[in-house]
Amino acid sequence: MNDTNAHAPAFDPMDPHGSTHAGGHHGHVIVHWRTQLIILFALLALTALTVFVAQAESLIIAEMGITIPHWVNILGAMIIAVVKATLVCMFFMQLKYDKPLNALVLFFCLFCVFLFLFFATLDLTSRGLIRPERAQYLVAGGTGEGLNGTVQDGTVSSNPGSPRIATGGLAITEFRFEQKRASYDSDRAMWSDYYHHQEETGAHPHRHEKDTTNYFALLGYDHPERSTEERSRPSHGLTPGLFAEHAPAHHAADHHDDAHADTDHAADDHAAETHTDDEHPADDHPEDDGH
Amino acid sequence: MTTIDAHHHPVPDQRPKKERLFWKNRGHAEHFRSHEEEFDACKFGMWLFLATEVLLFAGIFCAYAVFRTMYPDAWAAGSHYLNWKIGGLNTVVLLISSFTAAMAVRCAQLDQQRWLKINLVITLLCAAAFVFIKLNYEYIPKLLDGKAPGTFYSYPFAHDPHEPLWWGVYYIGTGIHALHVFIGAGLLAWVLYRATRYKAYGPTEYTMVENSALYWHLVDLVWIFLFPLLYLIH
Repeated sequence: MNDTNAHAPAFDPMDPHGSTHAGGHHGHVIVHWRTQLIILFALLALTALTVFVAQAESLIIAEMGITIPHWVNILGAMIIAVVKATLVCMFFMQLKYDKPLNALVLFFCLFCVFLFLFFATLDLTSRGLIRPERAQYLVAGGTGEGLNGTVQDGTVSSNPGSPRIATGGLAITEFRFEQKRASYDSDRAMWSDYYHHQEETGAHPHRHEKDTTNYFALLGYDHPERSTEERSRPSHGLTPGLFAEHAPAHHAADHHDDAHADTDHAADDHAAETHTDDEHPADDHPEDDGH
Repeated sequence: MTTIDAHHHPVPDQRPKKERLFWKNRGHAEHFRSHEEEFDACKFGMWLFLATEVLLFAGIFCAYAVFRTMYPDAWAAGSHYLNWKIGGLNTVVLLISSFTAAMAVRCAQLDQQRWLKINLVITLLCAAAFVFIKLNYEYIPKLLDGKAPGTFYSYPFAHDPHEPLWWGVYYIGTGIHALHVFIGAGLLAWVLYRATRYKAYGPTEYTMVENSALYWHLVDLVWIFLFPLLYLIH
């Protein structure tokens, strides 16, 4: 028996780790600090890149009015995230130098994750799908409600820890809005507070869709730099009030793809202001036409 | 008396704890043939555990994907409430801490006791910074605004009726991640304590450092996906 205290520099079969730090010994590679530092800088650079890509996309949409398909944003961010995760796994977690068994565990686990996402996506994206040869056998089932069904009352009875709220059939967001509105003397005061708070915390205040009287412009928060006499900047997304006359005729599922084009509120609000002085765009919110 | 002999003669080791836990005095458990085998088994066990952790977060990512498909407007509005600068700063903090955790393993392997402790302290400071940034710039202001999940929701100026659901996914995702930050920091603090008090880790005894660092990298790994999903995708 060898004394583990005795540290011979040569390889010792009873003490395979020894003070001979693993140079040619399998399994225990000591990764050079310079390698790890390079990986750290690569990860930081990729973080900057993913932020830059997202910012550049927003800028292109807002400034040039070019609509970039939504999946570009998601795919770009996810590819960079996967590259970063691979670097962390291979070098920081040392899977590159490890026994392949450990990597196998991870791959199997990722395969399971893939199954989760794959079948969930398959289900969600095919719910509206009716194949012509099966159409005649179709029986209405379930609650008959689509994904955009009526928002139920906010009372939660099954969880005793939750606050009980009777929203009177309103969505909780609407309920809270009405509550807030009731607490003010005038709408003007409420929106004044809202835009003031927005200006304090965010960079550019954006006009809120529920501000139908356009207090945004009345209170002077509508900075006119976006579209001038010399240069008009095209806007994108859904113009509030656009679908007012031909209301909920089309299928709700059709909206998912075009609805999220209007996420850049800055560009939208500008488009909205010319239309909404005497209309009520809140009536035709794209999520609402299921009912 | 040597440690290995102690396994054959079940006489309790009478030396003070400080000596017994010194890394040069550590043997391996008797059901392993060698220290190497013990290390590999421990690490494999850790990876099995990490796989279950990945599956835990996979459930949350799946919920994110499902609800995003169902309510894209709420998700777009939700990510607009978050400031990418705060999320980006937290990403940088976690990446640096992951680097120092990897460095701590290297220092243990090379018996650089002082740098082992320095790296662990930096990692712990990063963990504290992460939690501070998260609480001070995200959780507290947002909860004061009423941007809370489910029926706790009281923010009046929502853009979409499904926003409480977004906050549910946001708080569960980042909250369980923050819980992992606390657990990981706890493990690394334990390693730091043992390294300081007993010089417990060195070239032949660094399983605990390695596995704690692996756990910490998982925290980093999850955040690498949470950051773009919550802050960058509009």
